[in-house]
Amino acid sequence: MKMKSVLLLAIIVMFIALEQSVAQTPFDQRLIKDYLGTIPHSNMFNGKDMKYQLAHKRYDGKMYYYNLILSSNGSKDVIIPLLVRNLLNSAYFEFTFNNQPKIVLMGIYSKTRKWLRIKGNVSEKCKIKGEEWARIDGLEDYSELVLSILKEMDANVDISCIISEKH
Amino acid sequence: MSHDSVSLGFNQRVKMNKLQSKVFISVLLIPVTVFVVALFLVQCGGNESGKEIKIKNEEAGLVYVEQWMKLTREYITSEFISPPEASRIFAYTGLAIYESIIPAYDQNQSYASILNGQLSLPSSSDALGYDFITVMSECVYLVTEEALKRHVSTYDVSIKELRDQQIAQRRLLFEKVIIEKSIEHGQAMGNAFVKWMRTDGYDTTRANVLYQPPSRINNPAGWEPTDFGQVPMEPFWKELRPFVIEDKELCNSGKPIEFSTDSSSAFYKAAYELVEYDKNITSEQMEIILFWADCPGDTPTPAGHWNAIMGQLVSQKNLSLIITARIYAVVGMGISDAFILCWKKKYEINLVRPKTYIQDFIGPDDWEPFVETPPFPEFTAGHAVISGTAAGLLTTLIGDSVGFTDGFHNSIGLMSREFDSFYEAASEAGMSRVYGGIHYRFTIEKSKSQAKCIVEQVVKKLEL
Repeated sequence: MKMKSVLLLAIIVMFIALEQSVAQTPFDQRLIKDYLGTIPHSNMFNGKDMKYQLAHKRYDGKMYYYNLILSSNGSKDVIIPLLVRNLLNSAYFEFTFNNQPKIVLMGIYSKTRKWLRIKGNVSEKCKIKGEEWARIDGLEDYSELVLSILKEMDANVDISCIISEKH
Repeated sequence: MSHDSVSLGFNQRVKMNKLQSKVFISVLLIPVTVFVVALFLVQCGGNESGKEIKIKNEEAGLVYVEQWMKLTREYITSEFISPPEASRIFAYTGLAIYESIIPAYDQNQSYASILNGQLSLPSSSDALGYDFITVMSECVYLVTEEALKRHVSTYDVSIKELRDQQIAQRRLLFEKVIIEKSIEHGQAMGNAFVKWMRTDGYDTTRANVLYQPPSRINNPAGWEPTDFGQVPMEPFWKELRPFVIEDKELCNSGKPIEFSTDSSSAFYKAAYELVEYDKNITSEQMEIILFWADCPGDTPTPAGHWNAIMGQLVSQKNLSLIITARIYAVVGMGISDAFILCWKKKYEINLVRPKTYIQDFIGPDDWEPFVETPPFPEFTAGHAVISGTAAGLLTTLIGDSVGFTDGFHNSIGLMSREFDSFYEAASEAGMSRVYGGIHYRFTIEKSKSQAKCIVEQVVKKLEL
């Protein structure tokens, strides 16, 4: 009985330690990784699941460059450049389209308050009806943050439409 | 006379020529030689004891000034120092630089005697002479340590290291006796500053941590923190002593437009404008939001952004050391006073933020501005007041319609922005808060008026 309690305590301590170590991973270390995921029933691919890969390319000081690769079964990959400006308190996610330098979609993530807000300069025809960019709170984990960005984009704008537009 | 000359013999004429040569040598050549030797001594740092030494190697002085400002900006960023407090730090640092070197130019232009709170600085009219850049390094070191004392560990040696490095370089140019005398004078200056700084009300306001905003029950115009856990920022900042402005009731800037929840009212329309901006934001507006965000932790705050603009002006406009020092001192003090007056107004008027108003009276009830709403009341707008003040004072000191490039954010990959005047930059900074959904446009306009008044007061008092 005593052995069981010690074992249980050890597992709890290990679990807390593991959680802490994940939480304490410096933000910039999380930025140099690739992230993969799926958005089920996406608007982007007419209700099909959308696979995404956030592929890290390089970084230069506080700027981290990526390609966001979107695909669905049998579809051609869609590649969108992303720049993340990683500051001490905030991280800015800036999406550009069609080789144009201007920001089309921008996300602000508050590292201290753990919330994300995205906004975009998107034409009416590329907005999804009822567009409402929500603030996502409680984002502790980076992969969860990436997933939230993708969900927000897919819920509010027609990405294919933005790509087809001349900017 | 001419007859005498004609009657002189050859020998006499030769003697006369020799005499003329001697006169020539004594009247012209000797003073020229003395002048050349004196010039050589001044240039090469020969025996400089016994007379007041002016600024030598001004270029190094400019480099040192920027080193101090850069270090200060870095600390303010890394230590998450709040915008009002950052302004106080920049003001003291700038003023310490200016007062340290002004005796080398014109002691009468010192601001010490006309500032609030009796800043009594030691005289530098000593026969031995000083290196005023060494005086500056020592004085600014002490002032910076005091200004940052609540944020920087006593084990952090960066500030001391910068002082040591600068003074080591000056030792190569001056005799030991001059350097030691200059350090001593710099310490006396620094100590006088520290004594003065400790009476400005900052330390006492650190103890005042409890503040409860008035309840919004039956007062829908009242401000409340917009997020769970938000703590009102610097509610007692108004108690600090301004540098220049004598009466805090001056530059009152009036009141916001009449509060109303009626959908046909000007107030409702002002809030609705932000909803519209939020829905239809442009790429340029997003860039402007980002460029002027100046958030604590990410940047050295709005005061630090203008401090960095001043640093860029030094090279863009080839400013001299004394002009640079004056700009840092005057604009720094102006911005600091602007924060005190702005914060006074904020907590007196206690106006509701757009986020709360829109959620309560326009909808949707989870509406969020793009930029996080900061934890203090809305009226007047901090960035607009301090940017207007900075622009007004820079225009007074450097000139109207002075174009400049602000590449402060190049290090994070943001493009430089070009401005045709300081006011244009200030106006854009103010509007960035409207685009970001955290200030009403009428507040930005009223904030400009407050800034204009502050500039007038500073110009008048400092006789700029």
